[in-house]
Amino acid sequence: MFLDADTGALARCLAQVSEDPAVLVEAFFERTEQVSLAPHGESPPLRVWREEGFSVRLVSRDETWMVSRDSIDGSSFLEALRKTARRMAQGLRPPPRLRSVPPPELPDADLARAFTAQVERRLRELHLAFPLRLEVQRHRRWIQIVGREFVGEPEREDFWSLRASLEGASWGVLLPELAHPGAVGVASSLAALFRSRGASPPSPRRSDLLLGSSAAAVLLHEAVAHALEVDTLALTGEPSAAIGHRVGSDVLDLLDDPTSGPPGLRRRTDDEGVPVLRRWLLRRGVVEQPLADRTWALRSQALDPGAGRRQSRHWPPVPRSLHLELLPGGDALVDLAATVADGVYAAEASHGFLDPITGSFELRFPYGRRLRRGKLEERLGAFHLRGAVGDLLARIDSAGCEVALAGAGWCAKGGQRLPVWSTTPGLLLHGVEVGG
Amino acid sequence: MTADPGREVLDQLLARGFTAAEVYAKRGRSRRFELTHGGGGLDGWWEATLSAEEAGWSVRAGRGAASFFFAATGAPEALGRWPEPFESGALELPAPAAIEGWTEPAEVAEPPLGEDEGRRILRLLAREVERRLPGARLHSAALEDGASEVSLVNHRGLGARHRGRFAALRLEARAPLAVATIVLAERSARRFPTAALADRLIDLLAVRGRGSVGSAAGGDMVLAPEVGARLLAPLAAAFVDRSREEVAALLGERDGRVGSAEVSVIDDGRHPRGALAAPFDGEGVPTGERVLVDGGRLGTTILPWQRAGTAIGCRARAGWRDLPRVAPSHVFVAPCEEVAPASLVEDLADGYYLLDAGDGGSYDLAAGRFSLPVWGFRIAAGRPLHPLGRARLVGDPRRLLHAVCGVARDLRFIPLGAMIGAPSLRMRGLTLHDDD
Repeated sequence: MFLDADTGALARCLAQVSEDPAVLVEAFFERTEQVSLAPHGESPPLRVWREEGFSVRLVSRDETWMVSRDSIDGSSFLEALRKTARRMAQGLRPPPRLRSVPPPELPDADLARAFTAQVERRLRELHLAFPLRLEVQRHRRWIQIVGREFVGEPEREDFWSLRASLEGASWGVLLPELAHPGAVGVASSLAALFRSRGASPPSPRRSDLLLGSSAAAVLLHEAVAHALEVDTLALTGEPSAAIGHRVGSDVLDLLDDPTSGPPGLRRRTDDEGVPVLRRWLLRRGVVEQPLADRTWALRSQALDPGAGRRQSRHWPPVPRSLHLELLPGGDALVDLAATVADGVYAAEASHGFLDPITGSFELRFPYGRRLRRGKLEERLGAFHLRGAVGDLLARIDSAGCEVALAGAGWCAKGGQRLPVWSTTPGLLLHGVEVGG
Repeated sequence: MTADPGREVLDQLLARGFTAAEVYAKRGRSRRFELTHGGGGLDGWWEATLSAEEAGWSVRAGRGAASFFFAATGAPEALGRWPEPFESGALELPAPAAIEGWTEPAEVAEPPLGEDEGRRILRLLAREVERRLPGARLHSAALEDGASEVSLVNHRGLGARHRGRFAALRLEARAPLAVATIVLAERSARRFPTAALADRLIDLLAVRGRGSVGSAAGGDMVLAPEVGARLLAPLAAAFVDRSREEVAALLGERDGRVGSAEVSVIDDGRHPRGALAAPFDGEGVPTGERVLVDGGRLGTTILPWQRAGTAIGCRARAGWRDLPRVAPSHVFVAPCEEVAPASLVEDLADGYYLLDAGDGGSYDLAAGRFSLPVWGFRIAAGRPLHPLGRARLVGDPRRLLHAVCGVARDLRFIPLGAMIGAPSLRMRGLTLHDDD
C-alpha cells in the first residue's frame, strides 16, 4: 500500500463536511507509475513517469465541487477539503496523519526489451522484415478511496501496453503480462497488417461478417457498453427506462465483471470505492442493468452504482465498463466460418464510433480476409462496418464457443482515456454493410 | 517557485557522471467549470467546479550514447537512484541563447476566473441559446482557465523561466435533429465572446441536418475560418521535421509555387493573440516567426535547432509529463486587413458559404485527396439560398493553397493539436458532394 494514513481520521474529516446522506463526500488517493521502452532510435529510450496525489469531491444535489492536488500530506488534504466544502467547513483540524510511503524500486526495463526482441525474432521466423517502431509500456496504479461512511479496499492495477507503427499504419494492444505467447500474437497481428498493406478493401455491399474474438470485443464495447452508460442513455431519455428493452439478438448474454478480469486488473471496488458487480448488461439481448456510478444511482433507485471510473485524480468519475464478458455459443469459430458462402473475416477492429442521438454506428478494421465456405482467401485492406446500431446488433447470428481475453484497448470518452478489457468469443453477423 | 528549481538536481546528475542533462519543472493552477443538461427526463442542469493544483518535473540525462527520461509529481528532487540509461544515440541539448523581444502578455497578471464568474459565463450562454432558437438547448459546456510557471535548466548553462495563461472552452448545443459543437482556446477565459458564440451555435444548429448538395457541385466557395483551419491543420503537419526539398516534393512545387499569390502561411510561436505564445520552446530555444509560404512560394520548414541553420524554437512541450517534440505552434494563413469577410460572400454570384467542418474527414497528401464533412449555405447573388446541412468537401490537398483566390481579415484560431488559424477564404476548384 502506498499510503501511511489514519484513514479513520480522514473519514471523520469528510464527515464534518456534511452528514446529509444525500450528499456525497469522498477522497481519492492515487499513485501511478509508467515505464516505457521507446522504439529503436528514439532518445531517450527509457522513460519513467511517477505520480501521486489526491482529490476531494463533494456532490450535493446537482452540483459537484472537486479539488485535486499533486501531493499527499495532511495539510494539503485539509486545505483541499476546506476548499471543496467551502462555507460548510468549520473546525477541520488538526491535520490527519497522511503521507505516502516511498515508491517501490524502479522496475527493470529488461523485460520490455526482451519482449521486443521476441516479437522481432518471430517476425524473422515469418520471413518478414520491415521498418517497425514498437513501444512497450508498463502501467501500474495504486488507489485508495475514503468516504464519509467507508474506507475502501486498496486497489492495484498492473498491465502493459504496446504501440506499433509500420509503413504508415499504426496498431496497439493492451496485455495483462509480457509473455512469449503474447509476443507470438503481436507478431502475427503485425504480419497480417503488413501483408495487407497493399490490399484493396471490400467493395461496398451487404455481406456476412465473421469477427474474431478481438474484433467482437471492440464491437461489443463500442456498440453496447458505451450505449448502456447512463450518461449516454440520458441523452435520449430516462436512463432506467432502457431496462427491459431488447437491443440485440438472443445471442447477446453480456456482462461487465471487473472481478473476473486478468489478475493485474481485477477490482473489488470501483474508482468511487463502491463494490463492483457482476453486472448483466444484456441477457438474451435485453437490457438488464446499465453502467452507473454513485452520482447517477443517487438520482434513480433502479440504477446500481459500482461502475464509476476515472482517468486520474484530476477527473471526476464517469460510468464506464472495465471487463466485458460475452457468454460463448455452441459452435467453434471454424464451424461458423464454414456456413459463410461468401463473406468477410475480421480478426481485429481498430476503433468504432456510435452516435447516441441517431444510433448510427461505424466500426473500422485495419485488415481482413475474404471468407468462402470456411476458407480464408484474398487479403483485404482497411475497411468498415456501418449501420444503425439496433439493426447491427439484431443481425448477430451466432457466437463461437472459444472465449479469449481479447479486444483490450484504450477507450477515450469525454476526455478521459481508460483501459478496457474483454473476454469474448467470435461472432457471426448476417447481411451487414461493409465497405472501404 | 524557488530561485533555481532543478539546479540542485542538475548538479547531482553531472556529479554522477552524466554528460548531458536537463531539468524541466512546471506548476500550475486551473479551474474547470462544467454545465451539463440533465437529460433523460431529469430536467435542469448539473454544474461542476473542478479546481486543480498541479506540479511536476522531469529530467533528461545521458552519457555517451545512453540516456533516460524521468518525470514525477512535486518539486525537483535529487534521487538516490536514477533509472539506468539505455543506449539509443547521444542526447543533444541546446546551448543558451538570448531571449529578446518578448513582452509578457497582460493576461498573465490577471486574476484567475472566480467561481461565480465562471458559472455565470456558462449560464449566460445556456440562456442565450434557448432564447434565440426555440427548441435549442446548450447540452454541455466546459470552461477551463489556468495559469502556469515553467523553468528549465540544462548542462550547457541554459536557464529559462516563463509564466503563461491558457483558457479553453467547449460548447455543445442541440436542437431536434441537429448538434453543434464549438471548441476554442484563448489566453484568458474573459476573452471568449459569449454573445457571438451563442450566435454561432444558433447558426450552426439552423443549418445542420437540413438541405443537401444534390449532384456534385463545384464553383466558388467561401470557407469560414473554422473550415479553413481544419484544412490547414494537416497541411501544416507536412512542414514538420522535413527539409524544404521534402516539403516541395510533397506539395508538388511547380515554378517555385505551392499556392496562389494571395496566400501566405506563417508559424509564429509568439503570435500576439496566441494562446500558446511563449518566449522559448520546450527545450529553451527562443521562439519566433517562420514564413512557411510567402505569397504562394515555399518558404522555410519547421526544423529543430540541430537541423536548421537558424535557431527558432519549435519543440512543443505541453507539460512536465511530455518529451519535447517538433511541432507547429500557431500556424495560420496571413489575413488581408483590407478585406471584410462579408464582402467575400457578397461577391459570390453562385456558390457556397461553408460555416463549419466536423470530425470524420480523411486527408491523404501522398494520394492527393482529402474529404471533410462540412455545413453551410448555398449562395446566389451574394444571399443565402438554402442551408447545406450535410455535405462533404473534397479535393487535392496539394492544390489547396492554389485554390485560394480571396483572403479576408477575420483571422481565428482553433485548437487542433497546435493552434491553427485562418481568416475567411474564397476558394476555387474544390468540390462538394452529398455526405451519405
